[in-house]
Amino acid sequence: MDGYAGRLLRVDLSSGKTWVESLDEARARRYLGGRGLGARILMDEVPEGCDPLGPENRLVFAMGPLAGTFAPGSGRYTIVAKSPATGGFGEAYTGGFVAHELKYAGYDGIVVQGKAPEKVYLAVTNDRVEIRPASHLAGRGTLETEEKIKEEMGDLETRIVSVGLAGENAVRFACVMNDTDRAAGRTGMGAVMGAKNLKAIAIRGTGRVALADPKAFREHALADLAKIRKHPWLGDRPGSAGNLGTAGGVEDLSSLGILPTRNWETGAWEYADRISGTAMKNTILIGRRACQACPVGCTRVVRVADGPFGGVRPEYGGPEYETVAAFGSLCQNRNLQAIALLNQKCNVYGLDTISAGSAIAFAMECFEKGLLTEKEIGFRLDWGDPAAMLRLLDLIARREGIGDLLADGTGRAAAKIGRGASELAVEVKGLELGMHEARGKKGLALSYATAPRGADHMEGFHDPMIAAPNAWPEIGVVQAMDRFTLEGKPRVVRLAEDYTSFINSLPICSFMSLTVAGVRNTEELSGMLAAATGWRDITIEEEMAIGERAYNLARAFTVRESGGKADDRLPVKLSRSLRGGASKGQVITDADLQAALQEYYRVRGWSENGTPTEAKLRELGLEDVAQQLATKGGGR
Amino acid sequence: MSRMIVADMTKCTNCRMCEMACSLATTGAFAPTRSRIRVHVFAEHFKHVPVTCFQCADAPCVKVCPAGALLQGEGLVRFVKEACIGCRMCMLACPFGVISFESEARVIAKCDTCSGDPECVRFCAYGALEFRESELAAAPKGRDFARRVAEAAKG
Amino acid sequence: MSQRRIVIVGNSAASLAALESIRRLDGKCPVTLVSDEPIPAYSRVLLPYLLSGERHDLSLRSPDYYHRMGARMLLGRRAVRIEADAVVLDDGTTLPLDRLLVATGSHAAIPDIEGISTPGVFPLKNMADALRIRGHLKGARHAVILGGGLICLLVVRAFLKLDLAVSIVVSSDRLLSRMLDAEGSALVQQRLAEAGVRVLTHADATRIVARNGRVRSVMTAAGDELPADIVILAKGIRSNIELARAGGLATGRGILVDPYMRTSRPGVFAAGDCAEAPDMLVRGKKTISATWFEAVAQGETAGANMLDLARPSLGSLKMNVMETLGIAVAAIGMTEAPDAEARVLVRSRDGVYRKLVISHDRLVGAVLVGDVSEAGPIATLIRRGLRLSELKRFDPSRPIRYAELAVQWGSSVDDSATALVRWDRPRPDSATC
Repeated sequence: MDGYAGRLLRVDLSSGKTWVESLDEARARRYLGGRGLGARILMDEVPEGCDPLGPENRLVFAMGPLAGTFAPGSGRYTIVAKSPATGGFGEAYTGGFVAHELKYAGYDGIVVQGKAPEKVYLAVTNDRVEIRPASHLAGRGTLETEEKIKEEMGDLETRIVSVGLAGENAVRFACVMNDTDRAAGRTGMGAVMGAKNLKAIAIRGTGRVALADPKAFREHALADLAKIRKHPWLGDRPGSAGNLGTAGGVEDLSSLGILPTRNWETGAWEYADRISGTAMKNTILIGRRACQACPVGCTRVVRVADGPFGGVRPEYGGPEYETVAAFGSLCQNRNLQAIALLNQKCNVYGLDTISAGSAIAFAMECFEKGLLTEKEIGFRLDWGDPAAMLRLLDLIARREGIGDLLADGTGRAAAKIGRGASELAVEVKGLELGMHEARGKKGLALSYATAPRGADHMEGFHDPMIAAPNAWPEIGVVQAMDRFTLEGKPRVVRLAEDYTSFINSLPICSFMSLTVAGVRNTEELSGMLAAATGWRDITIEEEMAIGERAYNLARAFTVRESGGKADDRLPVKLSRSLRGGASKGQVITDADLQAALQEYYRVRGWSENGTPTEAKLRELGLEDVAQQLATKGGGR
Repeated sequence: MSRMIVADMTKCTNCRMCEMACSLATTGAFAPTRSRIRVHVFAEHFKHVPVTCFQCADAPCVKVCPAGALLQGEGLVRFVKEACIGCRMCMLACPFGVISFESEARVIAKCDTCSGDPECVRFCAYGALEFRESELAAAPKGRDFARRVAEAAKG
Repeated sequence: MSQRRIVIVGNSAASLAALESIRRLDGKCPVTLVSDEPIPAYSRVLLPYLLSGERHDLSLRSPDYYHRMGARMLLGRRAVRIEADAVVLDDGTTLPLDRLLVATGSHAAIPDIEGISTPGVFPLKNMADALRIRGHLKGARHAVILGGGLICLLVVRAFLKLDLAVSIVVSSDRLLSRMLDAEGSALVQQRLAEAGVRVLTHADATRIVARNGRVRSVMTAAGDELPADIVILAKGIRSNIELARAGGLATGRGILVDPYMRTSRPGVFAAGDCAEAPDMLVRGKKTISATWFEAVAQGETAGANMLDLARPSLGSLKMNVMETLGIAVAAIGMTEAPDAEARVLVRSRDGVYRKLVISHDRLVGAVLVGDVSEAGPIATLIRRGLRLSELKRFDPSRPIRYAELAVQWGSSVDDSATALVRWDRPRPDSATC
C-alpha cells in the first residue's frame, strides 16, 4: 500500500507484549488515519463504561498517509482515547516531528492498552521495540526527560512523546507533549498516558516513505506551497502567523469584542496590546520555528533571562494565541513575561494551557465572589496577579491543596464548591471553551455545544470567515452570513465540520486548509492524497464522506459513553449578555440554542436526541455502530 | 558563474523541507537520513544550521580521491559513481563533513546541486537557502587551476 | 621566474600534487617527471581492487594529462645521482634543473624469515607486485598475510571476494595497531572472525615452507603451521632514500625535511613516503606518515615552496580511513593519550566506537569505528588547533559536525565556512606535549 506503512504498532503494557497489526487498504480508505482511525479503534475495542484511567482504555497515536512527506502541514498526528475530562470521545492534535519519525520507523500509528506495573517508556527504533524502565524519570519535566532518553537511546535525533508531572498525577486536563514544545492539549490525554504508567515514547526512524506517484505529488505540493505563500495570513507578511505568531490577532479580536476577558464577562480588553504578538515581538521574542514540513513557522521562541519571571528558555517555545488569552485577558493578567513562564511551566508539567488558564480564571472569579477563600487557597487570588497564578499552577500540577480540586476541571470543581459556582464554570461536557467568544461568533456556539469532545473551537468554523459571499464554494458554502445570528448556521456548520473532520483524519495542520485559514487548496490536498496512495479517483465528495464518517463515529462514542442531547448545552455565561466591546449585548439564549440544535440534528441525520440514526450510520457504512447504540438504549 | 548553496542559519526554522526534497529527488522516496543536505540543531542556542557541499573551487576531496571519482569542475565538484570504491578518504578530507556514505550501494553521496536547480532551495519557504555566488566558490586563485584540472583530469 | 626548471623524481600522489600545485601558480616553467615504472601514474590504493577483479584501469589521470599540464614525462628511468644543478638517470641522461623534488616513495619491508624468497611470497607495493600476485592466484585456496596493518586489511577484503581462506599473522597484540586502540581493533577483529578469517596475534612467522618450488605453508614461532598457496608481506614500508643518501642529503629513516619540505641541500625538496617531516602535534619530532593524505598535502606544499612562495606546512598529521568487510575505520592524529594530563573520551555502543583524545585544551586525536561521518570535521578541528575552551558552544561528547563550529561564527554558513577553511592561516602556537 503506497503512502502508508500498512502497520500499526500495538502495545499491551500489562503483559509487556508488543506486536505489529496490519492496516489494510480498505480500512485506510474508509478512515484515513488521525481521528477517523482513532475513533474506529475506540469504538471497536474500548468496552462501554470503561474507566478512562483504567487499563482497558485505548490510547491511540494516529498518523495518516501524508506523514513522512513534504505535504505542507503534514507534520501532525492525533491522540485519541476515552477522555477523563469529558467521559466521552477524547482527542488531541499536535505538530512537531513525531509523525514523520514514526512513519520513517515503519508505522502508521501506535495503540497502547493495559497498564505497566512500573513506570516505563517505549523505545522504538525501526523494527526494534522495547519497553524500558522509567522510574528514574518519574516527575521529571519534558526537556529533562527528553535529554535523558536521548542519552539512553544514544541518538540525539530521537523524537520523544512524553507526559510530565501533571499526567503522572492524573490531572484531568494534563496533556501529552512532544518535541519539547508541542502539546496535544485537550481532553486530558496526558492523564490517560500517565495512568498507564507510560512516561514516554522514544522514536527513531531511519527508513523511507515511498509514494504511488512521486512526480505528481511533488507538483501538487509545489502548487500548495505557492498558494500558502500567497495567503495573507500564512505567507510572509508583516501581520502573518509566521511573523507575529497566532497571538498576532489579539488586538483585532478585542476590537471585534470577541477576546474572552475576565472569565468571559466581556469581550474587549484595554490591555490587549500588552499580550499580543506585536508585544511579544517588541519584548521577549528571539525567533521562530516550524513543525516538520511546515512553510508557515508560527511557533514562537522567546527568552526571559532574569527578573521575577526569568528562566524562560528557547527550547520550550513561546506562547501562542490560546495561551496568551487564557493566561492573559481571561485572568486579566497584563504581564507577558509571566505568560511566557506560565506557558513554559505548562510545557514542563504537561498541562493544557486553555484548561489551565480557564481553571485559574474560574478560581479568580470564585475568590472575588467569596466562593473560595484565601484560607482555602493559601494565598490571595486577585484578578491579574501573575505571581499567584504561577503558584496556583504549581498546585494544580502537583494536585496539592486547592490544586487538587481544580485539577479535576472547572465543571467538577464547581460542582464540589456548589453555591452557584457552576455558573462560573465555562465548559461543555467537561471541556473548557477555547479562547473564542461564541456570543460574537454564533456558528461556533453550535460547534461548542455539539462537538464530540466537548467545547471544541477547532471543529467547525469561526463566523467572520463567512462574512463575505463565496467563502467555500468547494464544499457548498456560498452565502454571506452575519456572525451574530444562528439562522441558517446549522447547515454551514455541518459542512465545515465534515471537511475539518477529513483534515483531522489525514491529519494535517488545520491552518493549511480551507475551513480554518481559507486556503483554496482542496484540489492540491486531494492531489497529494491521491498521488501518495494511488487513489486517483478520490473526490471531494468522498473526502467529505470520510470526514462525516469520522465525525459520526466520534459522536456515537460520546453518545454511548456519556450522553447526547442532554450534554449538548452551552455554559450559563453565554446566555448572559456580553458586557463590553463591539459585540456588547450579544447573548445566546437557551431558546436560540434549542432551535439551532434541532435544525442541526436534522441536517446531520440524527434523532431528536442528538444520536446518529441507524439510517445515517448505514449510509456511512457504520452498521455495527448502529447496533452498539441500539443495544445501549438509543441515546438518552 | 559558479554558485553554491548558501545557508542562513538565522532564517532556518528547522522545518526539514530541504531534507525531504533532497531525498525525494535523489532516492525517489522521502528518507531524510539519506539527504545530502542536513539540518543540525542546537536547541539550547536556538540555532538550526543546514549544511551541504560547498562545491569548493579547490576541493580537498578531489585532491585526495585515490580512485578518480571526484572531479574538480567550475562551480561544481562532480562525483562519478562508477569510479567510487567507497574508501571514504574524501569524507576524511572534507572539513565540512558533507559527504555521506550509502550503506547499500557502498559508494559515497554528495550534493550535486540537482544540475544547477537545487530542490532544497526550491522548497525552502523561509529564504534560508540560496543558490548564489559565494566567496568560497569564487576563490580567484582556484578558478584558473580548476578549469585546467577539470580538462586534464580523468573523465 | 618562468624559466625555473623543475624536476620531480616520482610519479605518485606526492608528485602529482606537486605538479598541480606548481601549475596553479606558474603555467609556464618547465617541469619534468621521472618515474622508474614504465606506466603513467596509477593509484596504489586501488591495487587490491585489481587483485579482486573489481578494477582494471587504475590510472589516476587521463592519458593526455601530462601533455595538458605541460609536463615532460620520462617513464621507466631511474634517477641515480644528484649533482649541483642536475639529476642524472640510469641511462646517462642528465637533466639540468633549478629545483628538484624527490618523491621516490617507499618499498615494502621484507622480513628476514627463512624461505622468504620462495615463489608465491609477495609484497603489494606497486603494479608489478599486483600483476605477479594475480598471476599466482590461479587455483589458490589458502592465503596467509604477514602483518596486520592497512595493506593487510585491504588485501583481506580482496581475497575474500575471491573466496580464498585467509589467515593473518600479526606480531603485535592487535590488528591495525598503528591506527587503532585495543577496543577499536577488537571490533574489526570480530568482523573478520565472523567472515571466517583466522587472526593470530602475538605471532611471528619463522619459516616459509616450500613444496615443488612453490610456497606450501607458513610456520610460526608458536608452532602453528598455516597452509598457504600465496603469502602476502604487509609488514610495513621503508622509505626509498638511496638517491638522497647518494646525494649527501641528511636522512634518518627518511629524507629529513623542514616545514617547507626543503632537504638539507639547497634547491632540493622531498615529499611523500620518502620524507621525514615535522610532526604537526609534537614539536621537535619528525615522522614518516606513509599515508595517501600526507603525500598529497606534502606534495602540494613542496610545489608551492619550489616556486619560493614560502608557504610552510602546518606539519604532518597522520590520518587514515578505510573499510573492511563493511566496517569503516578512521584514525586521526594521536590515537592514545600522550601524557597523564590528556583527556580521553570513549563511547562504544552497538558496534560503533568513538574515541577522542584531548590534550592541553585541544583535540589531538580520534579513532572512529563503524561510523566515520565525523572524521572530516574532527580532522579540521585538530588541524586548526582551536582551543576547545574558546569554542563556547562546543561539547565533545556530542557528534562533532561542521555545524558545531559554524555556530561560532557569523549568521551565514558561508561566513563561517570561509573562516574555518583557510588552510593558509597559521596555526596558533602549539605546545601539545
